[in-house]
Amino acid sequence: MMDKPILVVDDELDLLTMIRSIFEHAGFTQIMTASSGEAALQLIAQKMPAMVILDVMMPGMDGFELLKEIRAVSKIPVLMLTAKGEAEDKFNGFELGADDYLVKPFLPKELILRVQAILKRAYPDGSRVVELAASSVNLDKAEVRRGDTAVALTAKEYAVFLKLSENAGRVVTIGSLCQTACGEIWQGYETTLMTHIRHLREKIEANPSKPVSLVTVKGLGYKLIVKEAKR
Amino acid sequence: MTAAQHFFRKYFLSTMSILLLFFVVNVVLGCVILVTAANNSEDPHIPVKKLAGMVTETGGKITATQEFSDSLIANDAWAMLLDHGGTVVWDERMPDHLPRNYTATQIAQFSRWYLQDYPVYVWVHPAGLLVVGYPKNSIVKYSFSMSAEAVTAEIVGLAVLFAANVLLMLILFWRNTHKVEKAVKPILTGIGTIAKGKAVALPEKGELAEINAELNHAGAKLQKKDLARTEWINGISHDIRTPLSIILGYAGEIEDDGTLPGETQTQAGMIRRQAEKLRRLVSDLNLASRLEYSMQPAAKTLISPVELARQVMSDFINNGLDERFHLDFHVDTGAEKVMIEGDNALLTRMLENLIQNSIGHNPDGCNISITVGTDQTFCALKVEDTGSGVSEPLLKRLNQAEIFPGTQNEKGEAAHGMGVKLVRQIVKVHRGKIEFSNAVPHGLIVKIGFPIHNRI
Repeated sequence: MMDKPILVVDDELDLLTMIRSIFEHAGFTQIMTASSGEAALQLIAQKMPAMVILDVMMPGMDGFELLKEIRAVSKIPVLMLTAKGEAEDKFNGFELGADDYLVKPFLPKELILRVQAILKRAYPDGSRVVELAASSVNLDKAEVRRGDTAVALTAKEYAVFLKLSENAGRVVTIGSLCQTACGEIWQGYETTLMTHIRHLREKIEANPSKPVSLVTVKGLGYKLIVKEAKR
Repeated sequence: MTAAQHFFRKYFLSTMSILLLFFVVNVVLGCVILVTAANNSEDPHIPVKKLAGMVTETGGKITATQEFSDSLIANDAWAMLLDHGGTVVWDERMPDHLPRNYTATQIAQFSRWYLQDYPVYVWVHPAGLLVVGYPKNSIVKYSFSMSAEAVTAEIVGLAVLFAANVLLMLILFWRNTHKVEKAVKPILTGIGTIAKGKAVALPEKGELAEINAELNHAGAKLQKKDLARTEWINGISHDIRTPLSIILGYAGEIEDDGTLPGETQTQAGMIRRQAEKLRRLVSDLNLASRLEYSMQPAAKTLISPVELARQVMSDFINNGLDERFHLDFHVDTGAEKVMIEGDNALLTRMLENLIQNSIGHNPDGCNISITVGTDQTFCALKVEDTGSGVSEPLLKRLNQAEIFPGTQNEKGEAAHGMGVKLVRQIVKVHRGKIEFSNAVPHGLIVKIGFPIHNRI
C-alpha cells in the first residue's frame, strides 16, 4: 500500500512540501505534487496516481471543477482537502464524487489514517485475512478459521465484523454498528446487535464470556483488537 | 395586545372621554346660564291677568285700583276695556290717536300681534275685553303653533340628529386613529426588527415614507456591519487554516522524530498542542459569529442523544485521550429511547467543547462523566468533571451568559470564553436550556436540557 502513487494538489507550495514530508515519514514512497488544476490533470493522464488529495480553493480551476474533470475520465479515489468547512461545501464535494473530506487545519495523523483507509477500500488485496488472538477471519470468504475448523459468518455478522475490522483498535459506537446491521433506522435494535456480537464472539473468541478480541467499551460500543492484518 | 395597540386604544378612549366631558360641561353650563337668566331677568310687564283683577265694574261704572294706575305708569303702559261690540268703554293713559272702536277682525289681529305697533295683551274681563298696551318696541311678540305630531317628530328628530352626530364623530375619529396606527405600525415593527438585529424592509411610500426609508437605511447599515464582521472573521479563520496546517504538520513530525533530542521533541509537542488550541479557537470563533448572525442554517434531523454522546466520547478515545483523563458514560433508564430534533454537527460540537473545556481547564487530569437522563418533556445531558471547578463569581457569570471571549479568571487564565459562548448559542438554536454548577467536593457540572421530540 505504501508504494501506491499519490497526487497532492494545492496552490500553497509550503503545504505541498509539508504533506509530502509527512507522507514520506509515514512510509509512503511515491508522492507527486501539483500546484494547479491544469498541472494535476496532466499528471493524472501521464502517471495515473492511485489516489488524489485535492484542495478546493485554488486560483484558476478550483478543486470542485478539477474533481468534475477527473470524474469524467476516472474513478480514482479523491480526498478533498480544504479550508472551507461549511456544510454546503461538504455536500457539494460528495455529490461530485469525492471519497472523503478533511477540513484544514488538519492533524497529520488524521490525514494519513484517512488516506490509508481509502486505499484499503479502493485496492483490496487478493486475500484479506484479519488475524485475531484465537482465530483468523477471511473477509473474502466471510469465514472464521480456528485451528482446523472453519465457520461461516452470516451476512449480518459479516457486516458488523467488517465495520469493526475497518476501524480496528478504535471504538465503534453501538449506534453505528446497529446502522451497519439494520440500516438507517437502527434505533431500538441494540438487543439484536448484542445477539450478533454474542454469535461473533462464539465464533472468534477462545472464551466467548471473556473476550479478548471483540471487547466491550462500556456504554459506548465495541472495539476489535487485531493481532495483524494481512493484505 | 402590543404596546403600540395599547397606546392607540388608550389614545382613542381618552379622546372619547374628552369629547364626552365637553358635552357634559356644555349641558351643565347651558342649564346654569338658563336658570340664572330666568332668575335675574325681571318681567318687563305686569301679567295682564293680574291687571284684569284690578279693574272692577260696579253698576255699569268701571273703576281701576290705584295699584293698577301705578303699574301702568311704571311701565309706561296704557289700558282700555272693550265691550262686546268692540267699543272702548273705559281707558286709562290710552294714546289719543288710537281708535275708540274696533271691529272683530281688528281685535283678532291685535290680540295676537300689535295694535298700531303697540305690543298689547288682552284678557277676558266680566265687562268685556281688557287690553293693556305697552310702549312701541318694548316687547317682541311671536305667535307659535304646531301640531302635536310635528312636535313629537321634531323631538325624535333632534335625538336622532344628536345620536347620528355622535356616531359619525366616533366613526371618523376611530378611522383617523386607525389610519395613524396603520401608518405608524410598520415603523414600530421595523424598530423592533432592527432591535433584534434582523433585516428590515419597510414600504417607502405614504406620508411617513421618509421615516420608513431612514429606518430601512439604518437596518441595512447595521446588517452590513454585522455581515462585514462575520465575513471578516470568516476570512481570517480561512486564511489562518493553511499556515496552521503547516505548523501542525511539521510540529507533529518533529515530535514523533526519534532521532531528535528529547527536549526538541517535547518542545515540538508543545507547539503542536498550542496550534491545536488555536485551530479549535479559530473554528469556534467562526462558528460562533455565523450563529450570532444566523448565517449558519441548522440542518435539523432526529437525533438520539445517547448515540450522540457515544460518538463524541468514542472520538475522544479514538483520537488518543491523554491518560490523565478518564471518560465515563451513564444512561438513565429510558433515556436511550429518547429522540431530539437537532443539527448533528452543532450538537457534536457542543458536547466536544464541553469535554474539551474540562480537559483544557484541568491540566492535572480529572474524570469526566457524561450522563444522559430524561423526564416527561426534556432530555438532560450532563457533563460533570472532578476537576478544580470554578469560583462562585465566575459561576454566576457563566449562568448569566456574561462570558465573553478574552475573559480572564482569577488565576489569569482565559476562562471558558469562546467555547462556552458557542455552547450557549448551540443550546439556544435548539431551544434548550443550560446550567452551570460546582460539583461536590470539587469539579464543574454542566446540565443541558433539550425538548424531547419523540420516544421510540
